[in-house]
Amino acid sequence: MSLLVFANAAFAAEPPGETVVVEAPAPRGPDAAATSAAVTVLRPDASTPASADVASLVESAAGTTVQRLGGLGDFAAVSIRGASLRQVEVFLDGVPLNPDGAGVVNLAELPLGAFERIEVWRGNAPVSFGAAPLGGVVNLVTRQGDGGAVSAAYGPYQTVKGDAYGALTHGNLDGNAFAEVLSTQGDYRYFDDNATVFNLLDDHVRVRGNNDKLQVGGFVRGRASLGDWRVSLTDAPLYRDEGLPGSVNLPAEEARLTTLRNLAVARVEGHGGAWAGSATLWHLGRREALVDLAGELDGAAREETDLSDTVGLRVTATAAPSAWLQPSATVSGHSETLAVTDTLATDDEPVRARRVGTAALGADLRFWNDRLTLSPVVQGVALDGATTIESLDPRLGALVRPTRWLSLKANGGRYLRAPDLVEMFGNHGNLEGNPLLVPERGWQADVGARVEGPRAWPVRLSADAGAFWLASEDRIVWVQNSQQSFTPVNFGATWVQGVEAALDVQAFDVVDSDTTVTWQQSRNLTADSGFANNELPRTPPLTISEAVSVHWEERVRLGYSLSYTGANYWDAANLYASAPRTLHGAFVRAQPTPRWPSLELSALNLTDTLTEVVPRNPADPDDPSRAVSAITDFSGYPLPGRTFLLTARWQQAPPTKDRP
Amino acid sequence: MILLALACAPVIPEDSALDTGGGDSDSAVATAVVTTTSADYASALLATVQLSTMIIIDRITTAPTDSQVVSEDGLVYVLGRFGVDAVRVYEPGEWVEPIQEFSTGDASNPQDVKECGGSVYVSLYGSTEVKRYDPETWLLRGVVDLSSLADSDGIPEVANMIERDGVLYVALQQLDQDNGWVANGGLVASIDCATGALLQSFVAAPDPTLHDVPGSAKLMVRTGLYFANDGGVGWFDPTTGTEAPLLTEAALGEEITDLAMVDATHGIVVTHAENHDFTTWCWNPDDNALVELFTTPSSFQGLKAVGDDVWIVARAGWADYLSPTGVIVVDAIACEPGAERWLTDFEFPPFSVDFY
Repeated sequence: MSLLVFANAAFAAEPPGETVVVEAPAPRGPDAAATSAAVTVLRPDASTPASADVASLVESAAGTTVQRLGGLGDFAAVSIRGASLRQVEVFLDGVPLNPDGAGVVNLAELPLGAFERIEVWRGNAPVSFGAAPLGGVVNLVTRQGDGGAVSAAYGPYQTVKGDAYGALTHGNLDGNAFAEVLSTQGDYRYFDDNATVFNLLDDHVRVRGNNDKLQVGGFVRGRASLGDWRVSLTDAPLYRDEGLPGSVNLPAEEARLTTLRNLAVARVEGHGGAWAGSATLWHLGRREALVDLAGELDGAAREETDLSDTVGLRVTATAAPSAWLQPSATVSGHSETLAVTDTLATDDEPVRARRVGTAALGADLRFWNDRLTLSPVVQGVALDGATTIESLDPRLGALVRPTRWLSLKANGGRYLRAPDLVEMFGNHGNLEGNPLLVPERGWQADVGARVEGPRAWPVRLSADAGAFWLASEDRIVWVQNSQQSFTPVNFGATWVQGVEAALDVQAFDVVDSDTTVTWQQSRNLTADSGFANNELPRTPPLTISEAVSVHWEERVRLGYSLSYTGANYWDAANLYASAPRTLHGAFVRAQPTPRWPSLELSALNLTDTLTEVVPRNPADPDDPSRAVSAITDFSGYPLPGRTFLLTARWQQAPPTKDRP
Repeated sequence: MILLALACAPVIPEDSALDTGGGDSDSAVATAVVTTTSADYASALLATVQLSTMIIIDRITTAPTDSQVVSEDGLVYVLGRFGVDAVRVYEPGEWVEPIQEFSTGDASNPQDVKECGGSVYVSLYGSTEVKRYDPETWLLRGVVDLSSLADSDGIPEVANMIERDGVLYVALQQLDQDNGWVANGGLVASIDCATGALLQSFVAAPDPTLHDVPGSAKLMVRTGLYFANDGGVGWFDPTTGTEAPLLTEAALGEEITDLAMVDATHGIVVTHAENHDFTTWCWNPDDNALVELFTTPSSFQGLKAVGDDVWIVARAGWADYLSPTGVIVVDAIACEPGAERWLTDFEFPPFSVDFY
């Protein structure tokens, strides 16, 4: 049994010679009840509307907050438990897209259809991810398995989306590929007060201009199985060309950004009787070309190209020398370079480079028939670039399973994030680097419980609840240091504490319901009197997410979703707060038989909420006057109103076959 | 009264005027109005300082984060510059809401306000225009088209304005925004206040700003680009449009970032060194004599003269994020090194100041 625990689920072979009728493959991925870490496994399945994207699915996990700069296809990034966006590390099949917190991953660049699951690790993360980041891990796992699928969607703002998936198996070789094309004008309506909060006469509804996007992305993978070994090659390219619409008060008509990204991965995996391991070699190349010749974004004309290259190697190994001891280790290293070319500048920026090595050594210690599992980990980071940083940090997880249906968890650890090359040396002209930055350091701890009802019950449920605490020191924050330029500084200490809960119910094969609630408090402990003891910006104290759907087999499915975000400040000074907001969504899907295509109509922001009511003079709490403001996730970037999407989807029917 | 002040009441008592000494234009002022902007430039407030007591009344109302406050003809204008592009007009002391608020147009970047000839003129750095408003209705009365004075980027970079004898003198910085903000020249344009007609333009050194000199028919002009010792300060004669350079950055070895004159023979000049320290100097244009007052790592956002004093707006330094912030009050007549006074008890670091 212990072998099955640590071995990759894909390697879990059926006993030879038996005939197994495969109705539906067992879900792959981590078992939330069998790990001390707080993990949510999100699967794009029949209960997921076609209008969902990676960001909205991630946001449905407890403890997460997504910051969007618009609607479908617009920039979106995730914060977990109040951590900064850079403190969350996003992986694609275990390969880091922002290694060691280098940059912020735009979730809009990752097509949801490419993934069979998304793992959201809050706080402690498995050793296989290496030196875990302070803010947690989002791991996107690409689709596997036989069959094919295609879908096409059409929506307002000339939005067209299409994707296709296919897989082939031939002997010991198999391959699969996914591609998605998204095109939208993004010219939705939004409320604009013309930056005159006291003057209502010039308020009007505008159309978001220069918000078009064309994005093509996907992956292709080939694998060969050789006994206990498997070799795979994966390539995940992306092309994205977009207009940059600017903020509400500073709309841009011509500024554009073109992004080319390619992730190439070569992996060797193997396992023996009591061990499993893998070695992954990867290259992540990214080219961003910004053209803003009219200086619409910040007043300065720019024509810049940023070229970043990262080459990394990650080796993981786990073993089971005894039933109670399972050590594991991950050693990784990567080298990254950043070249900034500004054709309008007179000086050439030198190419910046750094090398980062990380190691995580841990073990699962199992006692009393697996009723108690202790998972100590030591993780280290060594960085060599403009500065040299070496750090060794401990973390510990504990899992108690007094019964099969109850898991009790506790985690704690210390973490580090070194400043990245952009923070050190700047980027895009208006971002000035700060080579004097010191790493962010922090502690996180959580306790929780998970209850799972028997799968045989007509009403299947699982419930998670927990409390967390996260503190960081020397948090790196971008501050404006002159009229239109920004520089990062070590801002001081912060903490976030809260509770999070999730309830997943599947009743009578008719009703699916997922509910999450997160309540959190945050404090900024910086010495700056303007911010001291304030709440952290964009850290809502209460968020609630609910998605429920009812279905008759899969012939007809009706779904409804609710997203509530409590009032939260969008500035560190806690002067400006967004109002509480509730957004509703719905979808209806019909599919007469499994062999037929399904047709779905989904709606986002069903109530067409474009505005919120906020204090007109937040400097004076006694002033009862109110003002109308555009509803946003990020100040100055409005969200779209009601949006419909019509989607046709065909998927090869689930396999029903005799396997020898 | 002190209790009232401490209670942060939005209505400001105005019963004690400062004896402003030598300056004639500020003799009746009693209150400083200050916009303050948080260190991360995300939030801003309006505060006032009673000049007789130096009591700060903070958190009166919100303000744009990149602001310019201008007291003009009995009104207080709070300009939201690039990215806000709007003007709030307040009756001094009545801060609950402005008597008027209007947009000057996306990316227009309002810089300065002057009332003259029965119109309110607003200079726009991101436009080719100076807009002219009716102070009764606040409707647009017209625009002064300066497109003929634009440099290669298509706009002339209209900066600050000074009024003399019914003529508005406007600094045009002529920076090429499409080419790294290099200088394409520099002009001073004159506008007839009564009609809004462009009268003429005078060639100035690159990147000029104009500065009032109380008691003098002449103006001071400061020129030179940021981070280059290529400019200086000198007299500008509005009747002839001629410059008479006095103090040069090359001779001083530091960049002159701003100045304020309290009369024709006393002023404060601030300079910026390569290490990003700022130094304050007393300056007498008559003999071009400089007296060094103090040096600080804080960065100076602006200067404003009131009576014998010059108020210097100090924000966190470019090289030292933790350097002190506040308003530094310097007596330009006494000119005693070490006698500067810091006003630091603002909720946010000050950004812009004027007096009414």
